Amino acid sequence: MYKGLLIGSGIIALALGFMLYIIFWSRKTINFIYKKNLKTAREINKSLHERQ
Amino acid sequence: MKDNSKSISAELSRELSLFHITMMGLGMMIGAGVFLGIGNVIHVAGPGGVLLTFTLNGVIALFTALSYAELSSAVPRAGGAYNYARLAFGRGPSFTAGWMEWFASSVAGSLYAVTFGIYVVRYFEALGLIGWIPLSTYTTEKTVAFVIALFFLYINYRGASETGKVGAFFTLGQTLFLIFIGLVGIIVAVKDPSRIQNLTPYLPYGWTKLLVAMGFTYVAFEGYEVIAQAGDETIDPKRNLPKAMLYSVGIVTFTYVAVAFASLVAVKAGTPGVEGLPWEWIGHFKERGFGEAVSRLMPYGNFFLTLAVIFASVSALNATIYSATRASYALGRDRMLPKFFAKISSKRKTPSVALMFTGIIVIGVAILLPTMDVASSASIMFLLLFFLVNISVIRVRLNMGDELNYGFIMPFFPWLPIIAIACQGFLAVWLVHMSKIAWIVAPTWIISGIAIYIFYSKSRAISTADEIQVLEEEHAPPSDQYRIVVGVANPENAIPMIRTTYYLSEAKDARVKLLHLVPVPEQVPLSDAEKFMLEGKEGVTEVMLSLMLKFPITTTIRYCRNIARGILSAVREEKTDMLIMGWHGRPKPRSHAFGLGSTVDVILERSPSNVVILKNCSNQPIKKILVPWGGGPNGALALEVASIIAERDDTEIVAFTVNDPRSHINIPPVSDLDSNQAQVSFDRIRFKVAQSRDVVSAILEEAEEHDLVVLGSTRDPIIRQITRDSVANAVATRCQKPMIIVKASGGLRSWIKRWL
Repeated sequence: MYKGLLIGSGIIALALGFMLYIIFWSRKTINFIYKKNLKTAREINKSLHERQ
Repeated sequence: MKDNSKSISAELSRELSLFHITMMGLGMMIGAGVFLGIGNVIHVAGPGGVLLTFTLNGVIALFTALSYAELSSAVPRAGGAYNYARLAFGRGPSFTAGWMEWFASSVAGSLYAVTFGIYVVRYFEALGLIGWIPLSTYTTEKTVAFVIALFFLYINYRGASETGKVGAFFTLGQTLFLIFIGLVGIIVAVKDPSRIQNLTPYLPYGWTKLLVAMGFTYVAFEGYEVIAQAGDETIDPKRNLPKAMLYSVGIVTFTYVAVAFASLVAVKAGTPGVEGLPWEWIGHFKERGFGEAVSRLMPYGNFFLTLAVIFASVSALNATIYSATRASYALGRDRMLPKFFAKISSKRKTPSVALMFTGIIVIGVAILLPTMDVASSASIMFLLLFFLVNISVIRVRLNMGDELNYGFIMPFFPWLPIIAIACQGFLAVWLVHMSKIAWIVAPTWIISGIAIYIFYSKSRAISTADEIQVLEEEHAPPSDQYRIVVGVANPENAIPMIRTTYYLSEAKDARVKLLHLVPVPEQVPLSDAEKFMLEGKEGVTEVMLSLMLKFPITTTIRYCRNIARGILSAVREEKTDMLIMGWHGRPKPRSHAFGLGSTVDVILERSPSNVVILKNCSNQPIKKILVPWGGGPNGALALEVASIIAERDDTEIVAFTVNDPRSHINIPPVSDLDSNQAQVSFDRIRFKVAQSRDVVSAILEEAEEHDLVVLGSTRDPIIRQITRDSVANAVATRCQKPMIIVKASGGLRSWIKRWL
């Protein structure tokens, strides 16, 4: 009876966690691009790889 | 936008902050989806279905928000999907995007009007106040929806609209109320864990019904289009647009899930009136299910919920009407629809024809279609619109990634937009199981649009100033020279400012810019504000001619939505050191919340520069200047301004301090002033101290013996000024002598702003 509830809660927790990760990653990236004054997609991709 | 005919330039005002545009997005989303959706989703997909629906829709919406965020950071102009499709594919798909956006926003407006009708009728029914009406509940709801839609069409025609700030705080209130409901639900579940059983069976009708539910509630996640539309008006759009889109989707998803959970645990099995399983009982109310659940969750739940729905649906209805009007106006302007769609009413300055056609769709759909068909039609159109945007982001990055200046690029490119495209296409098709009518209405609209494009628009469409241009926000170059901006409302207000402006600019060796603000109704994009150019020029030319005899100046007409925010954005962009403006000295009697009026108060509170406000000033000689002295940086600036005027006119300054025997405040002596802090002519200052319990009257009495009063503004925030009038405000409003009110620059940014 509770199997569905457990699986559903797991999916919800994972999905919301993933959302939070993407939002925080994006915020950090927007500030990074602004500080480094990066312009094109190629430049940004390169700098993001170097950051990692 | 430059006027090349004269030395007056024109520019657009960027007034909307990250907070404002995030709230705009939230306001569009928390309009109806959650209020109408929860009961219906529980009915269609069961208790687990409602939680999963909002979570998974949130994830798909986030993927699309990432596409919008990337595109809006590269093309931060008003236009949204219409512009992105043009950039990626050219005119045909761009027309289709604009055509779909017009319908989607209009139908979303219908949904908000219907939501308003349902919840208002439900509340009055509960109070037993509408039993006498000889109409069925359904007809009464539709009638109320018709009336409220008509009302907001009229409001939009008048050009009046809630200001961004007030609207933002309404949205904040709604969101906090929903978060509160979510928290109450969690507390109830913790106190009574048996209510968790309300969530079982989790998916009683299987995964297929979950997909149907996801389809028709997708309309609850459409706020990022309105954020993209605000590209021309946003401060620092490359950073703020993408952040606002992602934050708003994140906030609504968490809020929706919490509220859905609270609805499920609100009802205890076996309580009187609850038949069957709690979720079945909530579900059988369909659109009204959320209201029934919340009314059992907390005392006065019905009342607070109705209040929240009224605020949410009317603000979203207003926003969707002007968003839809802008979309059809833009199609008319670009001659993709007949020219009359771009007609601006000469009386109200609003696009009256575009508004009228939008009104026909809003009211027609609200009255003729059942509620779930309205929701499904809006959802299908938004799903297809976002489908197009997700394809556009891939094409733009691949073809123009090295040409555009991005402020953000999404992670996992191109997989996230591909997943979003697949999910949105699938959900749109799957909606046929929910509403066959929606699947007749939506394709009919799209096919008719394609036919209009092929047989009408293709040969007539024109290139306009709004054709894709990648514009950077223009900031003034760094310079050591002192910058003064003079805000001019009209010639009468400006000519008395000539002498003071001249003295201050000479003393500071400053560069002077004359700024004239022209308000433009919200229904007209700021990029089309040239239509208002004439008004601006008439107002500013006379002043410019007078001032140019004294010193060289530059002059700008700035189009804005709100005068105060327009001035503030100019001050920020110009990196202004001092703002000078006039004040008529009469706060509006109705605006109780504002000490000196809604424009002056906001500028004094928010301006990052020194502010000098002139009241009743003339160009007559001045012999005695009174400076009420209470210490602080504003007092120091007041003495400095008085000193500059005194040096030119050979004038005496009286620094006047009133000691209230009841008060324990120690006022520092003027001699404590650091000469680095303010350039004050101490040799011209005479000190005078008085004892009085009525500080304001003492200053007003002393002012009678002087030709000019220079007053440091209060440092109290507006919220404190509402609760008690400050001495400075009382003197400023009651003193009839020529007066200069000053406020020194400064202020700290809150930690929330720094973090965001």
